Amino acid sequence: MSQPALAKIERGVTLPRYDTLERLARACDRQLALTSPAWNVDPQDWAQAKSILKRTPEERLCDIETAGNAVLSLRRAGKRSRSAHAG
Amino acid sequence: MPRASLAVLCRHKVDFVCIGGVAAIMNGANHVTVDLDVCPETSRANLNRLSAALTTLDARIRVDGIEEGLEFAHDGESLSRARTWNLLTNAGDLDLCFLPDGTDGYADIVRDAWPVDVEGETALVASLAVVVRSKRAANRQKDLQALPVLEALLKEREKSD
Repeated sequence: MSQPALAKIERGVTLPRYDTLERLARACDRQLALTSPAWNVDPQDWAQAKSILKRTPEERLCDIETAGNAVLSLRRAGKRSRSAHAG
Repeated sequence: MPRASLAVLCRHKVDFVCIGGVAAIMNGANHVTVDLDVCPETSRANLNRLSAALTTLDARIRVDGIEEGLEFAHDGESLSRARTWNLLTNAGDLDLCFLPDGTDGYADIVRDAWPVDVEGETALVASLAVVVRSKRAANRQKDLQALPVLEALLKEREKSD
């Protein structure tokens, strides 16, 4: 494949055919796989979504804050722990 | 954290719509997010107000490997020169995106955005339809994971309308 043709694919100017994609993947030592997983809504996600939407928008914003703070605390604890092990 | 950043933007009378993970959660997604993505209106006056808000937030450019971020001088004019800004602020990470995936920017998103009260001020949140459209277009793994439930919520809402 020519460099200008490859550049067009990289920039999204042209859409490659499946067999072209296969050749490109092979050149990168990769296999191309087309999968079609089911578009299922996880029942637990659905239940959580319903639960979230029962809260007022302001309560949802508070929940985002609380969950985010918990994540940041865990990140900081992980970092401290890694530093302690490294030291 | 997102609420503190939202409050500062609101206090500075910045016109913007909240997008990204916070908007997804506000519309029912069960993510956890620690940053705030917003799509600002792009008039020079608004970007000047945004610049003032960023000064209050002590915004710096977010860079891998530099924990405190990079200081940068900004005003309305300079902010308009990039499509996105990934920032670190004293209230957490803040991403400015003038043209979110799958949208035509602020004017497109604000049409059906909905309000939320933030410390007595009103912030706008992107609608579920816009969140779904943008996540479909972004097509990243994390977006695709959130899509089934958001699309199901959207379908349910469209049926009931």
